[in-house]
Amino acid sequence: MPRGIPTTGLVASLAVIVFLFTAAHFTPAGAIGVAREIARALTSTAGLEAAVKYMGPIAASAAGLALAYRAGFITIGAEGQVLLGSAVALWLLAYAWTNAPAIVGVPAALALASLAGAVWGAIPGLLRVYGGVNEVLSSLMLNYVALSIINYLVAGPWRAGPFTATRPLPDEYAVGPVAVAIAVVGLAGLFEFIHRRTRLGVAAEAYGAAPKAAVTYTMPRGRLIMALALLSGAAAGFGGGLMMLSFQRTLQAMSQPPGYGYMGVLVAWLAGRRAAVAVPAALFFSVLVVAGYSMEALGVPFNFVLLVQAMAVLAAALLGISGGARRG
Amino acid sequence: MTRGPILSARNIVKVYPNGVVANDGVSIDIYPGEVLGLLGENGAGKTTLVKILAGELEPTRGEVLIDGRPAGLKSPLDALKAGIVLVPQHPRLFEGLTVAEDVGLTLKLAGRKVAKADVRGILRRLSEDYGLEVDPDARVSGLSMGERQRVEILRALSLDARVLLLDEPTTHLTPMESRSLVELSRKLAREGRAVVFITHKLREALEASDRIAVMRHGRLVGVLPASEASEDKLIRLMFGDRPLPARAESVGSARPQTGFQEAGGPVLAVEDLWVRGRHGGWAVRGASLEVRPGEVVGVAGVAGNGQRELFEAIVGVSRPARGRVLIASVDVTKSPPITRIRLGMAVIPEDRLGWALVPGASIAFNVALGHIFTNGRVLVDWSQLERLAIEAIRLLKVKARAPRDPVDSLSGGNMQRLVVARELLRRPRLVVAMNPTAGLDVRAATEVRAALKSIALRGAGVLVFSEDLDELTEISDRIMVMSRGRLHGPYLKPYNLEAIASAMTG
Repeated sequence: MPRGIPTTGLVASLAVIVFLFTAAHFTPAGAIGVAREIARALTSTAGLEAAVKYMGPIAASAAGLALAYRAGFITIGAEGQVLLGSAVALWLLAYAWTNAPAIVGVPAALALASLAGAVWGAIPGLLRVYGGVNEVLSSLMLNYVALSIINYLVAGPWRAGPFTATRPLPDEYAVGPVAVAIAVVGLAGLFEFIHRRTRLGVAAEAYGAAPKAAVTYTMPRGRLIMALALLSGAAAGFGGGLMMLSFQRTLQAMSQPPGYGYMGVLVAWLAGRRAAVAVPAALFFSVLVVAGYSMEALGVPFNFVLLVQAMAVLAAALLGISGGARRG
Repeated sequence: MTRGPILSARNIVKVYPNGVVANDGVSIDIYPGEVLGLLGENGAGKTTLVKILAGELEPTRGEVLIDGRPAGLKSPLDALKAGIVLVPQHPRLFEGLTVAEDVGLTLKLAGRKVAKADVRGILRRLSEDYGLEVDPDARVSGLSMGERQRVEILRALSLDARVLLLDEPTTHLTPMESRSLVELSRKLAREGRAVVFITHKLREALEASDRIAVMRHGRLVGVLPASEASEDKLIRLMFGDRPLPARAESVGSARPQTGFQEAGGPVLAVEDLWVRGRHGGWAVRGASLEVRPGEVVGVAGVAGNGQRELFEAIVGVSRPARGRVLIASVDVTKSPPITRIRLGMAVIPEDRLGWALVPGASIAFNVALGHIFTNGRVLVDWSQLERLAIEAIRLLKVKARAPRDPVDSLSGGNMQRLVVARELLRRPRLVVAMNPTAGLDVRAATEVRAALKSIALRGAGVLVFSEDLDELTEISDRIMVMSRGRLHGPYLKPYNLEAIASAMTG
């Protein structure tokens, strides 16, 4: 815990939560009841497993984004990369190579998902390097392009059955929570290693803190941006593959993207742009997701759930999960 | 002068937070009805002095007197109210406002209640009286630098300033405009105002002033009536008159003369380089120079004459529009800096934090910066780099506690020692340095100069851009002068200071 806990901020967010509950005519007893139900959901095996699975795409995106953000390459494109990663993983195992043995098929699907994410991530990189286009805008808009591509595939070529949905992923390719946890910890470790022990990491750090020094003494800016665009895209795509294999299992028409990549963006900042810290920070978010589902199951209105989640995130930011945000 | 001074400085000392002593015990009186020329090289402390007189900076020691009484200036507003107005070198007007609005705002801040329509009237009258043509309704953002300067002066006049402090007022002016500004200054003085006219151009100082004060290294080294001043006298005051040739000679004789110069081609060749300036136009106009192994080439010049742009194009952080840069006979005109560094270039930029060093990062990280992209390895071995950092610290006696300490914890002089040590540890064959001793104390500056000389003795070519002519005459084998984007020279030893200075200020 960093020195100086921002008491005012914490009290304020607590007060807002209390106010929200009161305004929504929850009695204190009722609120405690809801809290107890949430706690039960979270401490149950099913709840924990769900939280770890949801953590997959969030942590994977955040690990890649953490490094990109250090260098000042502010891509918001993880959402679309996650979506496309999940789509190609499904395509491989449910359409293209349906008889693949799981031991080969699962890694192949994750590799293909990473590749798809990297390709999608490369676009804002190229636009920035060769066209001077701000990556915040281009990557954000590409998320909705990805969403449209998926909706087209779901409604068109990949449609199976009467609903706008694809075939489900065959059960033999299911990835459990333990595998998800190992995968994201490994990925975060890899990015932490890139950050601390490779010259790409040194260049990223230098570009973020002193661009002119970085231009002079490290690699050219365009090369770094492309490397980070590809790497962060691959990480998010990998997370999308995990998402498909662990809990999504099919694609349906969506009006809004599911939001795991966006959460990855938040998590990367909340984790102080440190890949290693991104895993616990992502778990915090996925716990909020599970808690949200249980609140909804208890009849708490959806928007209300969002507000409570937002308050929890603010409180966490104030408490400084991002303790290790300093450069080393 | 029968009347007493309007404005006086008494033993002004100004030490900036980074330890630079900009003013070192300056005392001077400014009388009504005179133009006081304030002359000195860049970094001599002229701007600091007038900023203190105008209440923009607080002196570390010493005091400012107005009409013989302690002024106790707390802000520029206090000075404005006392009728002391600074016209800064780079105009500071509100881009979004019209001329009348901008001037009206200042009047309001100074406590004058003037209606908007009256401001226009005042501006028109002043424009006519002083021949300063400006449209009161023009938007500031659309004005040229020369016009903005006129607005700054009109603003001072509208406040009925008793003292006008003009900081290098001719920087943005054409020769014609400069001449009329000199005349305007004389007219203002005849009206009984005091004008302080800062310049580093000798001729201007002689034409405009009644008295000329010369500053060097933060001190006032002489005040003389313009009638008794000559360019020769002023140059000697500005640059000091030490027995320079003798010292340079002794360095030269210590050098192994044979072998290096003839062996191979130049380590750096710049051929007809043209670089665009930030605000359009050419900053560098057809510069050509060569640096051969074992020699130190100095580039002298007043700041803002294209040195920075030339430096950036040689280092590779900017692309020239025309011409070529060759390092060790390899054309690197289109290559990034790291390619040039791999060819043996060392870079010592002017800005320590942000260009030479990454602020917030550790000393080891900053030493690593100069090495991990040249040692051919993708992985970073921090324990090895920490040893390298210790080596760098020892090489130039950097006062640092541990390689893991943040680089910001070092003083300016030690930061520069660290940068030079890091660059020299790569055993470069070419060193490109910009103002390598700016802001350093005498000892640190001497050590940095010695390090540059010793690397040349070991066979590297060294190119030093500096605004400090003393420094260049001490360490250079040849001196080029940069003025308005063009390179003049080379000037050879023994140096004719007068010729160099007149090329600089011409």
